[in-house]
Amino acid sequence: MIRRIPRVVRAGLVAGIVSVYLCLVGVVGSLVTDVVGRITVGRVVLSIPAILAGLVVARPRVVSGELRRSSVWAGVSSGAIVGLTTGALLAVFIGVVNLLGIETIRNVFIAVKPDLMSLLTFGHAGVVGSVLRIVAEVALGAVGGAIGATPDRIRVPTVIAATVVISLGLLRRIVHPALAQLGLRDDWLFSVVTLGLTWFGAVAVFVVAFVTTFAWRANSAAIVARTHRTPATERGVRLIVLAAIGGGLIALPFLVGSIFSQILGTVGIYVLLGLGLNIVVGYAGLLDLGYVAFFAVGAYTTAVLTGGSRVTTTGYAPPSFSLHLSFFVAIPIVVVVAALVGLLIGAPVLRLRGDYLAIVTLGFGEIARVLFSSDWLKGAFGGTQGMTAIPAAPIGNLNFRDTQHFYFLVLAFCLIALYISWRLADSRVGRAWNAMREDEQVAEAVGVSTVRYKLLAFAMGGAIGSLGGALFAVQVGALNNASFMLLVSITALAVVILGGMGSIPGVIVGALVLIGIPGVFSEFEQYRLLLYGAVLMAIMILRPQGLIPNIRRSQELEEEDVAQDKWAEAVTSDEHAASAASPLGEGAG
Amino acid sequence: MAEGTDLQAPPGPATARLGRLQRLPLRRLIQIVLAILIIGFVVLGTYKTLTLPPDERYDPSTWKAFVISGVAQGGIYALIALGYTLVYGVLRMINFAHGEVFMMGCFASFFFADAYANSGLLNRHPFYALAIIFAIAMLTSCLIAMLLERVAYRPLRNSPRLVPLITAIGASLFLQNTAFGFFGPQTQAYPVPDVLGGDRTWTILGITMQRIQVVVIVTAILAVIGLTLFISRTRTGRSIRAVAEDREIASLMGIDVDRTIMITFALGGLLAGIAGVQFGLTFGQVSPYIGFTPGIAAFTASVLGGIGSIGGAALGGLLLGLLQAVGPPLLFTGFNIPAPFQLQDVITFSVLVLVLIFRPGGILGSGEAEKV
Repeated sequence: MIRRIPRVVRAGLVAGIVSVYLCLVGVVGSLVTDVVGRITVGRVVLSIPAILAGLVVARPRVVSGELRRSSVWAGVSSGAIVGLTTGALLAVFIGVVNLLGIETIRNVFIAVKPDLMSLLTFGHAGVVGSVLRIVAEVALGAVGGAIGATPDRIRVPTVIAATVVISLGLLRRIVHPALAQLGLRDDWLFSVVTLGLTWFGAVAVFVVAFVTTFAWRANSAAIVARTHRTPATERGVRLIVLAAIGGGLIALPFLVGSIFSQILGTVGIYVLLGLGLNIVVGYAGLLDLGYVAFFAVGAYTTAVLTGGSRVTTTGYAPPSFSLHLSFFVAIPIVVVVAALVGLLIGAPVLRLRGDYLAIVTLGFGEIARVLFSSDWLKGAFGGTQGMTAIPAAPIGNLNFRDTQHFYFLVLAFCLIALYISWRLADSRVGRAWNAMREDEQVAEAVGVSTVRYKLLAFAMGGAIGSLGGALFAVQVGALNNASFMLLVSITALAVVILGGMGSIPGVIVGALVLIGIPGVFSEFEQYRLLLYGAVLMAIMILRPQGLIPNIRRSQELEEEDVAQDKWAEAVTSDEHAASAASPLGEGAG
Repeated sequence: MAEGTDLQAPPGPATARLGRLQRLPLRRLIQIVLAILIIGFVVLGTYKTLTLPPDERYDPSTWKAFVISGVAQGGIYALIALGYTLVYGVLRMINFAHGEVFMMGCFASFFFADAYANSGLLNRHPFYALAIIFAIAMLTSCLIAMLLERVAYRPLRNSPRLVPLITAIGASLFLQNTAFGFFGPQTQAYPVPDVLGGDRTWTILGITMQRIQVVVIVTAILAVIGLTLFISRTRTGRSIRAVAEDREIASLMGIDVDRTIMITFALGGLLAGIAGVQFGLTFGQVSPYIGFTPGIAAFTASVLGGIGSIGGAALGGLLLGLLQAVGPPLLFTGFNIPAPFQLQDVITFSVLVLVLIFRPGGILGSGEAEKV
């Protein structure tokens, strides 16, 4: 039934549903920061589904084995039909709201406010507003179609330049101080009134970004070929790159200021969690959903060992057991404790596999949180009130409390964890984990002690994760059970999944994308979790190997793909056609 | 631990047996130690609680109230657990987002219940109002479950098993935060008609129960009977069983596998919708976060009873409800642990872990033999 609807209309319907969803969930109405001129983030977000749907429809595609390109006019017209469908759905939405009254709808959907409606209808009541919305969506769809139909060398720079403009429009609070430090004026770029880009600034940035990307793409092949000419130059280039990265990492906190440094600190903590979880999930193939247990163990152990106080109704009190060790003396103990907890968690679940293991470890994570915050252990860990006044980590005069200094502490720990992960990957242990992950029975048959290596994976992963917890305790200085929800486990998992299971660079990219980007664009903070959910689904459906796949891991998935394709071919061929339009929904959400 | 020696040994039945002999003790040992510890803890806790001085002891009527509320809670778990069990039976997949399907049903029905309460209809015609409220919840949950299947799970039908699970976690987070954005973060009071109000009781077979508990238990029993009949008697039920048995063969026999799986999700959604209203009426509140804990508890219940078995889900729900209601006061009070009900989730998860360690097939399941 659905398959009979033309592809273009179907794409428009998906875009329309996504648009209405974005309105209802609050993204469109509540993001009121101006990006360019008077265009708010909400408006930008609302325009994305139609543009994207138009772009997807107009892109070259393979029809029965042959690549079919559409001309720009064909692209524009099919994009316009997409936009028309999207606009029609939005008009229906506007109509329904007008019919029932905003107040009635608002009893259920709290995001439906007069502001949202005037944004949708450009401030015009009745039919005029709906017509304007349809016209706008047609225009957006046509723009998307035009972009989609143009050749790669124009399309890619256009998309990149547009992304740069929108991002920059949201970054005044970071760019402005940096430019001011250098003594540069930016009132041509950012409007003093709206704090977003001025139209002149937007156009200028777009042109610069477009030209740069265009030129780079035109010449990149030549540049890369030149640098790869001999092994010696290649080595030289690699050294230069490494030096640049090193210098960049050291200079970074001073360049970006203290707000940004704090975000980087948090990114670093999630890099640690991701690296630890990567050992368990990526290397050993044990899906652990209770990873927050190690984070909590690390944080609470650090708090107790370095002399944090627990919060009581009357003020602060020392916990029933407390030492006043320096952070750096406490860390080895924390690591050992976490490794032991890893063994404790690992031992009972040795027999479990796959999804059962996931649920049981999730249970352990929740048990850890409940125990740490229970009245029963209140004497030791402060109950639901938690602990506070956790001392900083001093070396001489440095106490690493300042976000810019804290960054270096995190960086040091991350480098250590990175080195360990990297060395483990291809070591005897790492290969044993690989073997175990790919086939437990075969691994056992060739002499890999699965008991030993599973326990080792839990202990190692736990130890690295506890470092993240310890740093978190120092960074925040106070702990309570709200910091140790299941969400931490899921975020860490999302970091590993997005980057690619078993891939070390993947963890870094994953943490930067999932922690760094929401941190920098703080407008979206409210919708961070929604985004995580969408990312997890979209990655699994569209690119299960992750952004930067681990080579061996992606081979495995490919083999499965081949087997899967064979099966799929055998069943039906039109099933693929039906599912082709659906992924759009998750991507834009 | 010492199978390093197996490396050089030639393969054969003798080494296989030897390998097992060498390997088993550690796992067995862990199991045995664990079993002794837990039995010891349970026996000691129960003994200490029951021999508390009379003024600190719970009196028999309190225990009775614990048991009844446990049974009612178990009814809700059973209905959600059926959704897990149906999907697991057919797809071998844990639908982690099922708790959110339940939450969405509860939310959708809340708005109607609220409107009826404001217009007075809820108290004038409680029966009709409740019928509509149940219908709305069932419809919503059913639609969400079907949408979930179509958008998130169908593209992954033949992926490695962890892939759909991770997707399901994503879907769970997505649905929870969708509800957060749609309906707001605050906890809202779910209106309860006066006839089912907190202090109104019915006495059945000499046991006095709150009316709402009776409603929950009766609807749960009816739903389980209805589902059993549907699965065992109807043509669609038969195709569900066939797909659960072997998807490829079923499709060769002319069964529309996609449609059957969709119906399975729809059935799970319908039951979750019923559970949603029951939850709202029992606890009198609704928020975007109510899906998680009952969801996990219901999953535990389905594992406890034997995942893939309908009777198992019902039994598991009942048992888990009882364990949650009676367990904390019985086990923890004797040790002078303050606020024992805080540790309810510890009991849930311990049950889950223990079942999976000692009897992964659950109470009614015997390994892989029984499915749906």
